[in-house]
Amino acid sequence: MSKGNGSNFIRVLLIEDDEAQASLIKRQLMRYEDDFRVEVEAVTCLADGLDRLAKQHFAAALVDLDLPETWGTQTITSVTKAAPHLPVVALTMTEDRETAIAALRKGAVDYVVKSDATTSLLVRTLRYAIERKRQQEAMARHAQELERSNHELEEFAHVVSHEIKTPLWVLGYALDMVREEFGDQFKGDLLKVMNGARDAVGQARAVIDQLLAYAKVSRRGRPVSATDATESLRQAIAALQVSIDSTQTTVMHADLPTVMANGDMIVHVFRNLIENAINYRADRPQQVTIDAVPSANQWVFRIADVGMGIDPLVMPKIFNLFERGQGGSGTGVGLAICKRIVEMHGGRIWVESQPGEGSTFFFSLPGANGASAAHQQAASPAVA
Amino acid sequence: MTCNGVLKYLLVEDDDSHAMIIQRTLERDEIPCHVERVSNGVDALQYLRKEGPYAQTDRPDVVLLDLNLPRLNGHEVLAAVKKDPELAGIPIVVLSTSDTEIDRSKAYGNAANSYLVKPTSFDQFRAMVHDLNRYWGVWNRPERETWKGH
Repeated sequence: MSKGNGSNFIRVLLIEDDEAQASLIKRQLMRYEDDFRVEVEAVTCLADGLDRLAKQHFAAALVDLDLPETWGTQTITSVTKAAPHLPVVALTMTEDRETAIAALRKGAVDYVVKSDATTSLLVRTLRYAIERKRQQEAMARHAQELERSNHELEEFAHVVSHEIKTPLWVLGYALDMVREEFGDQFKGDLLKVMNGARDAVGQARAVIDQLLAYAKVSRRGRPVSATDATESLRQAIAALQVSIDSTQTTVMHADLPTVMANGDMIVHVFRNLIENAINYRADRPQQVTIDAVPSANQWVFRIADVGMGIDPLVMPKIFNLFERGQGGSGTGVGLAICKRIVEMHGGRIWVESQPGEGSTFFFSLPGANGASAAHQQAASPAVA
Repeated sequence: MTCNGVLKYLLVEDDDSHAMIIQRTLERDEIPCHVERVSNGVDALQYLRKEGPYAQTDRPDVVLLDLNLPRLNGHEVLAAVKKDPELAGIPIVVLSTSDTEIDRSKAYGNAANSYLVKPTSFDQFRAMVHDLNRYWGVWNRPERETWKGH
């Protein structure tokens, strides 16, 4: 809405079948002359209203819910369908809250009870309706933009991965074929170089797979529901059982709470963090302890280990793509994926660490019963 | 029955190195076979339809199809073959580096007979080629008469 010296007009469409009521509202609106003036185009039926909307531009519409050919929320649906970007204010006969709320659900931005329709109320309602609609549209555009860029990232990763995987395939097979035919002739440094080359191909392939996994982290088709975090953790542990056993790692955990999350994604976070602890273990056997504590309306999960700890130089960028500590065997994508998942759930992830002593990763997730997480009993102490 | 009793593959692959590795691995397998190669989708269809330079060429028993091909891609070739009543019976095995669900379900949607992802190690690839050869050359040898026409 433009501010000015009273010479700015906003055009409002009024759809109201009661002519006396219509002229009353029109008079009220035209009486206003401050930062702008209101120009009212009044029609008495929906068909005429839709016709005007098709031909002219309006800043907002005031729509009576009960018209000759339509009534209730159906009226709002017809108008918002014809002009999806138009702020629509419903006019109701009485303080019928249910109908008013139903109208809001169908796309109206506000409602006014006709008998209360003073100049100041009407102008204020229109002013807020226009502003609110503008914000709604900006948010919708932003969400759309985000969805589009996520989709583009996924497509980009898919194309790039294919274009890189193809030459890698040739390279890997060629190295294997050469080793098969001439392997007994490789000695000393040449043998090391050939083995290194084969490992490098494997590493590149793993990075591509991880990048694809990172790009695929998306809320699309992954509904959020009440998820038992203990069950998610058990699945993560089961998937890692072989490497847990072979490295003599101990994983202990408390009973974990129920959170609002996508179960598969939470399994992924636990799995990545435990795998990380295994990869960055110290000379002693690794011990991982997992529990959760309430904080405001969220739960904070803690994954503590007695591994090598994190180099203070790496700490600030540890959740960035392709950052990794020295001595581990990770690809530098796992923690970036965890961050993406946690943030998609409205949570936060961070880490505290003592080099040489171990690290504790923290991440927060909304509790399954909203604001009451803090009132639930804290998780019991860690048990094996 | 094939003309000389040896299973004949048509390999549709644009990349020379890929083609060489596949061809060499197949032809070195203990089950004898013969591999012909074309390097784009248009040539593949001409070959199967016995058009142009391929008028006198026998049709293959099995087609090994890459997905990323110039001119007509693998999905398009697959769809065209399976829609053609004269060619639809020729088994088509998609051989791809892509293990994405989109490519796999699209290929099966177009009635691919099989979808194989090239494994990461050459040893595994050789084992896969052997299985493939045994499947089509021994257990499921295509009967040419059923689709060849007269």
